[in-house]
Amino acid sequence: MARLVLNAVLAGHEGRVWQASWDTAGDRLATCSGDRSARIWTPLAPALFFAGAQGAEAMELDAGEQQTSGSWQCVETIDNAHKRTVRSVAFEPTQGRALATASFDGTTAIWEKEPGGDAYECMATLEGHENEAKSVAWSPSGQLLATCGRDKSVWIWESNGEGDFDCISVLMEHLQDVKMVLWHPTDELLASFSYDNTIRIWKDDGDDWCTAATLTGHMSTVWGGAFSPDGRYLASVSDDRTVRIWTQRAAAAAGGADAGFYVQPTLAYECVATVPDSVHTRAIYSVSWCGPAAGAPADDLGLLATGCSDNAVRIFRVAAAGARVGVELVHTLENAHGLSDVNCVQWNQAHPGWLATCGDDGTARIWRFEP
Amino acid sequence: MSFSGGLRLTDLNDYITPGQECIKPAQVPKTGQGGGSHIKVGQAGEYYEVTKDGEETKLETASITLNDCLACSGCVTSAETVLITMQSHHELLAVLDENRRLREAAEGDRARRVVVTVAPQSLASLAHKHQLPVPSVAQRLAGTLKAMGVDYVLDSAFSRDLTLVESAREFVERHRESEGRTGAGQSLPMLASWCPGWVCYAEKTHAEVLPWMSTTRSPQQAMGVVVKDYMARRLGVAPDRIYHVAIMMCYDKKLEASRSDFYSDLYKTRDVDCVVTTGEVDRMLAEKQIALADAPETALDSLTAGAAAQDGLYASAGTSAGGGLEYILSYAARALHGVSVSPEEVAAAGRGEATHPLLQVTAVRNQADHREITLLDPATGQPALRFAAVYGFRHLQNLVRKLKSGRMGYHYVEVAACPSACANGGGQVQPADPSSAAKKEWVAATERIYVAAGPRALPEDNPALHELIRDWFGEAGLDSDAARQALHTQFHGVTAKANPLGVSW
Repeated sequence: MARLVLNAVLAGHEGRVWQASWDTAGDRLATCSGDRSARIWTPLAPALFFAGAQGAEAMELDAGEQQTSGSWQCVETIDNAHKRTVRSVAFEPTQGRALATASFDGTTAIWEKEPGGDAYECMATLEGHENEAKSVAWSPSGQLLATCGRDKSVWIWESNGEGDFDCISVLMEHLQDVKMVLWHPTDELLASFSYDNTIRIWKDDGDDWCTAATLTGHMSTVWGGAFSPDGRYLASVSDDRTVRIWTQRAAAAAGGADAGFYVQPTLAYECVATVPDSVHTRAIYSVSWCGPAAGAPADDLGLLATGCSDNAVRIFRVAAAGARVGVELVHTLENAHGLSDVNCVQWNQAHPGWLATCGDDGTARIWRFEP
Repeated sequence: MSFSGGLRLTDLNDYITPGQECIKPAQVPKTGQGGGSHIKVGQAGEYYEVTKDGEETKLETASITLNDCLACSGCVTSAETVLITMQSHHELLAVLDENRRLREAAEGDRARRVVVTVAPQSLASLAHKHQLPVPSVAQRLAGTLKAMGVDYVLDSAFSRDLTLVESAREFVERHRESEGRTGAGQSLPMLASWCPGWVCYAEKTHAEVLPWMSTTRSPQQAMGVVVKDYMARRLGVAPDRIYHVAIMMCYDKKLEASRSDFYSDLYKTRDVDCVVTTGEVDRMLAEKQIALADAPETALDSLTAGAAAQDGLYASAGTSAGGGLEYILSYAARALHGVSVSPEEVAAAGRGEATHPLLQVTAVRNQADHREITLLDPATGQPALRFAAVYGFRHLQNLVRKLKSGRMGYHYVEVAACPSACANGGGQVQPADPSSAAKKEWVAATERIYVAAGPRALPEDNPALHELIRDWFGEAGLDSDAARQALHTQFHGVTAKANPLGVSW
């Protein structure tokens, strides 16, 4: 019987933990919190831990656990990183040195530690959002950074190679609060998820970024999403308690010859699976996609994890079924963070089967999935 | 989700959109009956005052004035809807109707003189839509407006000449003051302040850049003071007896007209009473079933007794941002470095149509909307004056970032909040096809028409302008205190008010 086994509790934040993000190597986890700080955590012996050896042993699921497990440590605390809640955190993906944080104070900050230095220093502050910034994401190349916020806008920034960024686009097409931004794993496409119930896919048309597709179907706020690691599918989760899976369909170039010099490559997406609203009992805040194991059958699309305000973490097995996709619930872990919302779930892409979650109880937790 | 104490309330922030932050729903008049009454919200969201004995009175919904919006650090966008209702072509029509009624009642002396100023960018947009030459559109529009009862129709490119000359003088003065140095504590860079979208944004979010804003009035507000001061005196009427309408390319110009800096407490009147956008004019013509192509051609009015421009129209070299960069660079090259480069040469180099040995043009990150135009010192070949044009919100962000970090060596920056500047103003006539491809082509065509319509002469060679300056300010001309007073304005940083919903939770 498939199950999630708790292997570590990361305690230290003095407020709810909003997001947990692994670095590309999969050995460090960054978290951010309502206590206005960001933290970086790592196992004492990462290789051994993720091999299932040292320190990686099943713990009793005790919701009251508020001590960091002995096998992990908090290696960095960026205190007072912002004037208000730090809502989102992300490691720079190519070298993993820099860390971006987005805050309700409206700013996004870039932090870096000089080799041999003793603390992370703020290298750049990206201002522009009128109020709360909600999410920050680096493109896979590390060259672009996207942010979004309550002011309904999505901003794209480009690294100038000297630690600072230029604003290259301000996209104001969402009608409401934008909850999350997410880059496609291989193509230069950005997805944004909004309180206006839609998902937008953005693309560079050579001059500026523009909407390449608007995905409609969710009946309420879309809180977040995750691309499948091969980039073929996008999963989204919503306040409407459904999970939807979308895939790109070839579309004729809009307008064709009439469009003159500015042919807009327009993408079409189709919803190929919906997990009905009877499975999750409240708003779903977070979803993460773990690719299939090496050598798995071609129709195996891997695992989805969801974090929900009904306090549960759920695991689904995803498989292609012709043009559709089958999504099967294989495990429900109730009260993963006690009687608290689960704000974020994040598979470790470098160490398959390891999942980080964080919640309103002020902790992040590390789990191993046993199929 | 179970609420547990005040902590959870921070979540509520997620559900307040910027528009909703501005809540001023009901004004509660004191009924004088003492306590005991309460407010009830009706089904349609209307408010009722309910007295002790159950009597219900519907309350007036309080309206938000432009000044409320300007004084608030909140939304810029939702202010637009307020603007549209406060200043529109319906206001103009109401004034014309009132004048007609007064004249019919033999009270014509109580009628207000109606002056309409029209911007060259608006003329280009109408010319594009109606496929007519710009001078013809100007004269047909003048003919139409006069047939509707407008007394004077003026060309805002005339007041722009005044503004250009004064801006160039301001730049040279700032350059001498700072000896060409730029940055914190210096009077350079000088930032153009013609775009009210940019001014409003800077005042609300980046007050530290305000000392660099050019204080010379924009063409619209320069015409405002010309009409309400110079023209009023010439006509022998009080400023409030003139109703001054400006036809402009953008909604933000309405916001500019309503700034308290342009309001006379003495006469309770604004320099520009009402701004009507190009698109609103076009709709007004459609509503009145007037085809511009069939309208009579009437020459525009001249403010001075002397020579008007040949067809009543003025123009200046440069992009639809207005030609500030081109003229100021030309003027400063001459005044500060003894180099002769005409505004037209700067404009042509900027468009990439011509090269000039002393001008270096760079599109930053390959973006046409962020161009650097550098004047080289002929002796050393080194940059002598570094100018830039920055159009559109995203490039404006980088400008602000550079200004704040001190990593910017520009002497002058022409800023416009819209991509492609004012040809793309939000108030312009829009293409029928809403796709972004069609929009880009539409804006480019409007820009071409705008550029092709000018220029004829340098602003300082405009004889009517000289006559106006002499007549208005006397022998001291633009050096007089009166000119300084009349032609300059100021900027006000708006300090953010603490969000009452955000504190202590």
